[in-house]
Formats: sequence, structure tokens, C-alpha cells
Amino acid sequence: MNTNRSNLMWAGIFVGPWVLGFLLFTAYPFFASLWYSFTNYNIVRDAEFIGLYNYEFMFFKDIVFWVSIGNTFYFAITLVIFGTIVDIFLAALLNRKIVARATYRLIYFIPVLVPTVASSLIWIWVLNPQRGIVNYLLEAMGLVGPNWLGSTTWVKPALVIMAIWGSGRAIIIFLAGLQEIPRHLYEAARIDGAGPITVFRHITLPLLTPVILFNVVVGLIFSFQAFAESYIMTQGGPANASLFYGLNLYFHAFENLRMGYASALAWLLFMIIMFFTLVVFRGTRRWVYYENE
Amino acid sequence: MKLGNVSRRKVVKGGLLGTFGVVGAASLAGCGETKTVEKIVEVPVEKIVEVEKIVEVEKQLGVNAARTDAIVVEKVKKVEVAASQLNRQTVELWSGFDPKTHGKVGGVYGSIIDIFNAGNPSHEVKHVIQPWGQINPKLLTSVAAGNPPDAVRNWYHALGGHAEAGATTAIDKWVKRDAKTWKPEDFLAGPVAQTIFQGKRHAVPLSGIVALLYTNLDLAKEMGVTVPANFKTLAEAEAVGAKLYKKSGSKIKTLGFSPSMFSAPTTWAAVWGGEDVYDGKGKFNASTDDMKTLMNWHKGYADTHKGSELVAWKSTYGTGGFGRFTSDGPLYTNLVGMAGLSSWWFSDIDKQAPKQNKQWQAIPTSGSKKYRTSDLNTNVYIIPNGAKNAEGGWAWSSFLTSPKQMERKTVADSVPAIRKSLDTPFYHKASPYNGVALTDIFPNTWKLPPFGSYGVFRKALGTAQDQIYLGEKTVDAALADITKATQSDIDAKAK
Repeated sequence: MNTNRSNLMWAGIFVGPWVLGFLLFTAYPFFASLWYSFTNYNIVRDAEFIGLYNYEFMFFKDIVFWVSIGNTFYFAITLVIFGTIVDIFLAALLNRKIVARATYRLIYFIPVLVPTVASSLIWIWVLNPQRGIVNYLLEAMGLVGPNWLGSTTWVKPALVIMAIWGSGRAIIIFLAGLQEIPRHLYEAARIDGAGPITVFRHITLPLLTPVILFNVVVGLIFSFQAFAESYIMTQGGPANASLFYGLNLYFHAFENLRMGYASALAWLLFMIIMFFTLVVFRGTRRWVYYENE
Repeated sequence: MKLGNVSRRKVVKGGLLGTFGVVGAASLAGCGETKTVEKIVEVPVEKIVEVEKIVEVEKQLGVNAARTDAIVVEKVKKVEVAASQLNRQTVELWSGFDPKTHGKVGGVYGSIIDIFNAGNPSHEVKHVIQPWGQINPKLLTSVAAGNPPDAVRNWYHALGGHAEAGATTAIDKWVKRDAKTWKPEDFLAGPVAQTIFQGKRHAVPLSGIVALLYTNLDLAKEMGVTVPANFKTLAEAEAVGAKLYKKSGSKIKTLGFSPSMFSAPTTWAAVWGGEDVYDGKGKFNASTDDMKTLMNWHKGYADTHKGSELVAWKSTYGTGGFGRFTSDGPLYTNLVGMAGLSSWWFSDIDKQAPKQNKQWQAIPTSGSKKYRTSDLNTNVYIIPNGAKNAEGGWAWSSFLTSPKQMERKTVADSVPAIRKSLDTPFYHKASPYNGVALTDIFPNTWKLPPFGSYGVFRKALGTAQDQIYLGEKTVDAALADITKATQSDIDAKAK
């Protein structure tokens, strides 16, 4: 009994700071923002309750709300689909026994270490239609490069490409997943005469599905919150083509001082992310394979 | 110990005063800490300090730099050390003027703070350098937390939002009290108008950012194009641009003249007579005849040059990219160059390109009856609501905006909001565009009053411009969107 009490006390001492931090800096702001979403609040003055007006404003009066929803869905879905495909492909390459494998792995991970501001500024130059290296190379191949960040058609693909460039963390996770797949399964498949595509389809991919699930969920959450790149590179332009949900929220919160409305936007974003995460989890029984099940 | 600290700080700040500072501090330490205000009055502080500081300012500006006098320096140092013994209240001042990164204006700003600190018996400014981009969010959170600074360098475009939110202090009581020394009528009408929110003064006007037309005459000559002297109409500017464009092989990279050449979309709205959009009382309507004419003018360029190319040009050079706002900028763009008067480019252009022949003038008239030479964005000082030393904030703000200090600072920066300071031989010599600002631009600027939804309006206007270029919206639909976005925001905030 005494030992239990003592353990409990020590547990409280060790966990307490974290719990306190969580309550103060996560739980309180989380629920406070729900209250603020029903108020007119500008940080300085006291919040005034206005019922559902912020939500009404969102759906019927904010002329860029639906634009930002469309842009964010485009970005999230494109990035998750293409990002996952590219990441698995690169992880598979990095899993092969090739010369200087460690160096290649390092190279793909380096973008993760580059601060977003720095990488965004670099990409502004890389993608510049008139002086950027991408269009220079395309021109050398006889192609006319698009106006990446200045085109309503190309700005979102440009940001997706940039996001995939920085997805070294997902590649490392996929790589770890690939290395967890038992070698004897590959050997057995080869003995049975399976080719590389068959091996990939029937062994690698199924056994990688838990990792894919993880990266898809994390990727969805990340991409729905996309903000920094478009804030730095395009400010949501041209013609609001890269105005993501997070950017619209930021603008209303910190430039337009409508914290109440921004809180309402944040809560809707939370619900959207929650909904899609649940949808993905609901579908896992159909496509995620756990070896120990 | 205290004296030692003071000496070290001053050495860092003032540089050349270091040696004498140590001597002065040591002698004062020997005498004990008995220095009083009378000590300062005994020595002709202001005169000595100002003479010395003028020398410093002039040295930084490269003007008349040979007047350094070691004796004066010593006296100044002693007085400054004595002043530091006074029981003064600290004025926490926020600005982004870092001497290390702001060229001439950074140094001059520091000198003016030194002058204030040396001569003011009640307040001592402590300058907190904040990154420009963080000043507004930090200001709001500090006001909300009840711990704001005492004076903050700010801008017209944010003032309406801050005042509406209750983050600023109305300064009318100080203006009334100090009517003999700080007179609103000394200031230009536009900057003063932009500090008044709902009938009360919420800021001290410092200087005005306006746009003007700059022509690189050498480049034009090199291209075989003759630029008329001080042309009066926009059509003439466009004709020069068209010739430059043609001479350079009609490539969009070298456009000659671009309707997207200004970073602020409101500039063209001023030139095309768009000032009726807001009535100052909560009613906003962008669908005026003048705004339609403006948007159709943008559309005309899109039709001629392909809108996506214009947007490409804007994304390359639109915000000063690739050295556009340097004296060589027009060489990259082949433009009839343009920029805001407050740009350091204007302050330093003679240094960058001393031999370049150039022409400064107001943006020529569009032909609209409501033509304004430019939009106006006044730089201001605000005293945050809840400032602990609001009196000190006013003391600093009114000191900096006194004609003498204004002349000093703005000669290295933007155009002062005081007519007296603009119209001096010193300033005319130091700022070649000054005459243009004084006679041609400021008397006819667009004085949009501060309002909390200005940011929404400006953003919506920029988006509409893009949409017109890209053919995504008709002129009427784009203008209707601006109205809806801005009016909805005004209404929501008034809820």
C-alpha cells in the first residue's frame, strides 16, 4: 500500500509538469477557442457573445472561404496521393544495396532540416519563370516552363512539388517499414518464381500498409494545415489560387484582428481533419494488413 | 559600477565618445553620486549636445563632417553621464531601426535617441529593436497582457485596426496641453488626416509614403528613346514605356511600362480617382465609375500583353524582387521605374548611382477629374493603450516629430510630414526628390481615413487586379467582390 502510494506520488511528480503544461497551453486554449468562436473578439477588448454569427459569416459572407476550402482539398489530396507514391518509390530505391546508400539517404533527408522560410525563399528563385533554374532546364530541353507561382493553374502543383521535396521524414519511415519486412518472404516468393512487380504487389505493399496508414494520416493532418509556404511564397495569390485555409485563418486572426472568426475557422478545420482521419481509419480493415492479426 | 555601465553603453552607441566617457565616469565616480538636474542646467546641455550630434548626423550623411571638436565631445560626455544619474522614467520604444541593417537611417535614429536622452530630465528612451514584421502582433498581445511599450513606430495601414480594437491611446489631451510646442497645423494635411480615427487623434504623424515616377534617363537614351521632361499625362508615360518595350524586342521581360509595377494596388486607385470607395462612416462601395475605368485600364493591358505574362512579371519584380528597387532596377526591367518615396532606395540612390541622370516626378494624370498624385501611407507613432509611461511616449513622439529632429531623421529616410522640414535648403540638397514631393505630390494625395477593414480592402483589390489580368472575372464582378469583402468585414466588426 505504502509502496503504491509512493509510486503514485513519484508518478505525479514526474507527470505533473507535463499535465500542467498540457492543461495550460493546450487544453485551455483549445476550449477557450471554442468559446471565442461564438464571440466578436479582437484580443484587446473583452469578447462579446454573438451566437452563430461567425459560422454564418464563414459560409455566406466570406468570399474567399470556399475558395480556400477548394485550394486546401486540392493540395491535401494531391500531396497525400502523389507524395505517398513518390515516397514509397524513393524508400524502395534507398533500401537497395547501392553504392553510397547512406549518402543518398542523407541527401533525401536534408530538406527536412532546412527551415521552411529558407526553403521557401530558395524555391521562389528556383521556380521563377524568368530567371529560375527549373524553367532554364526546361528551356534547355526545348520546353516552355510555366509561370509556376504566378499562374492559377500551376501554383498549387508547384507547392505540392515543393512539399514532396521536403518529405524526407516520410521516406525514412517508409524505409524503416521496408526493413521490417521479413527477408524469408522475399526468398520464398523468388523460389516460387515471382518477379519484382509481383513481389512488390503481394509482399512489400501489403506489409507496408500500416506504415502507409500512418503516413497518410499524418500527411492529411499536415496538408490541411498548410500555411507557411504559401504565406512566404505567394501570399495566397495569384487571384487567391494558393489561399489555403490556414492562410485565410491567419489573415483574419493576426492581420484583421478577428480572433473570434478565426477561432470559428479553426474549429471547422479541426472537424474537417477529424472527419477525414476517421474516414481513413474506418477504411483500414479493407486495406491495412497487420502481420500479427 | 553604474557609471561604468553607462560608459560602456555610450561607447557602443556613440563610438567616438568612448575614451572621454571613461575619463568622465571615473571623475564622477570620485565625486560620489551627487549629480542633479541643476548640474545639467549649469552646462549648456542642449547646445553642446546638439552641436555634437549634428556633427554625428552630418558625418553619417557625408555632409560638413570636419567639425568634430574634442573639447565639445568631452563636455557632452560629462553631461550625459550626469544625466544618467537623474531619476528618470524609462520610455520603452519599439521600432525596427537597427543601425546594423538600416543604413543611414539606422544611425541617425540612434543619434536622435541619444539627443533626447541627453536633454530630457524626465524621460529616458530605451530602444527595443523589433523586426518590422513582428511589431503589430507583439503590440496587440502586449496591450492585451497589460504590458505594452510606451511608444511604437507604426503605419497608417494598421492604425485603423489598432484604434478600432482599442490598442491605441487618443493623444488629443497632450496636443491641447502642448499646443505651443507641437502644432498640428505645422504638418501636411494628408498625414494629419490619416492619424484621426472617428474624430480623435490616435497617432503622431511622422512621414508620408507616397509613390512617384522615376525615370532612368540614361537607360532611355541608351535605348534610343527620348523622355519628355516632366511629362504630365499617363498616356505620355505609357508611350515612353511602349517605345522602350519595342526597342528591347517586345519581350514581356522588359515591359517598358507595367500597370502592375506598384506593390500597392491602391496607388493606381488614387491615380484613377477611386477615393469615393469609402465614406469614412462605415459605407464602402468599390463599384464606382472611376474604379470601373481603372479596372478596364488593367484589362486593356491584359488584352494586349496576355494577362498571365503580366502576372508572371509581377511575381518576378512586383515586390522588389531581383533588385528592382535599386538604381540598377530599371536595367533589369527596362521599366520607367517607380517606387515609394520612403524607400531607402531613394535615400541612397545618389550614392548607388551618382552619375546617373534621372528624373523624379509625380505620377502623371490619368485624366480622371478625381485624379490624385498618389495614395498616402503615413508613418506614425502610437502610444499603446495601457502604456505605463504614456507621458514619456508622447514626450518621445512629439520630440521626434519636432521640425529639427524630423529634418534629421527623414533626410535619411522618408518624407517628413512637416512642411517646414521639407522646405529647407539642407533637405532640398540631401533629398533630390524633395521638391517634387513638396510641390507636386503632397498637395494632392488620396487621404483615405484610417478604418479597420483597410487590409481587407487592399487585399481584395490586389486579388481583383489579378483576376482581371487572368480573365477570371469581369470588371463588374471583381468590383462587386471587393465591395462584398470589405463591407462584410466592416459590418462584422461592428456587430
